[in-house]
Amino acid sequence: MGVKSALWLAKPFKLSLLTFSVCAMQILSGCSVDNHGAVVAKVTAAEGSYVIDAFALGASLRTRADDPGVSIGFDRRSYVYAGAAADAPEPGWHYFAVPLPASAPLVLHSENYGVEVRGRVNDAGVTIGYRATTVMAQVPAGESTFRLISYAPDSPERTRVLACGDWPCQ
Amino acid sequence: MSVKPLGLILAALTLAACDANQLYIAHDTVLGLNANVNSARTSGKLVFGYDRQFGTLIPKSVDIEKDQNGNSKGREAMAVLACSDVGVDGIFLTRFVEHLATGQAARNFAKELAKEPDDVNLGFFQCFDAGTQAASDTSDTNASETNDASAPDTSGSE
Repeated sequence: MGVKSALWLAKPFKLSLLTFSVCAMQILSGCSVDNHGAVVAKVTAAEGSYVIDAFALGASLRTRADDPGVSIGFDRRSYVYAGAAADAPEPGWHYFAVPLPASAPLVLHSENYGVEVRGRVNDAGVTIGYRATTVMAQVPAGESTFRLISYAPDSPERTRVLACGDWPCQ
Repeated sequence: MSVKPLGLILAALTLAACDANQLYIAHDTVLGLNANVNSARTSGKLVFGYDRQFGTLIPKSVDIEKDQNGNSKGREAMAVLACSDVGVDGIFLTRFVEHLATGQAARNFAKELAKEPDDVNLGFFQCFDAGTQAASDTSDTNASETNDASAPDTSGSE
């Protein structure tokens, strides 16, 4: 009974030790997985939107369906989301982890210096050097929408998003 | 016998992959080596050096509208009305402003634009107004340039 209790008490400690070890290895080796690890991110609230800028150094693995791939080098990814979702991260700086909302971003801007391997359906390939990509709009086929997006990568606080389903906008 | 259904399924999947199921407006700048494949359009390219492109991918087959029973009346390319304003500094993208209307909203807004200019409600789609203004400014500039250019000729002939 005494041994069982000791093991039960040790489990959370083991788990946190394992988590700490994995995080420490990721940070020391300079790698991140889905914006967890060697990553610094800034969340900025803006008009009708919020912007997540994630900066990663080393190797980055992305498993999201809308942006799968691997980057080695310096990688910046900026996501513009409409409104204030319930799962939106808090505005400010985030270190070592920034969770992305489940919904797809309105804008995805990425810059990579180094090597990048991408696995999107409409954009699969490899880049060695510098590559910047901005998906300014991504609308499902046939959807009725009306939107204004204003975005400057170096001034996320000036981002502006206005959207409605049909004309005239109310 | 089992190969035929498999072949049909593969052919259907291949054809389905040819048409995009999303509208994309995108920018891409590369400096270095880039190898790219677009399986949605079955195309690819290899770039060594510098390359920049802006592009729009519009789905070619969407329901036009539906009747009272929810049945589609037909299919055609997705309706899109857009204004893009992009700023660059060297190889870097510095800003972009995107005004976008799609689907039924684009059709309704196109009807609005067909009205007399004073009656048009542009809402936040002010780029159309700015475009008209820019066009008139350009024509004014061209007119003044023409006048300026004609002046030396006149003086020369004198």
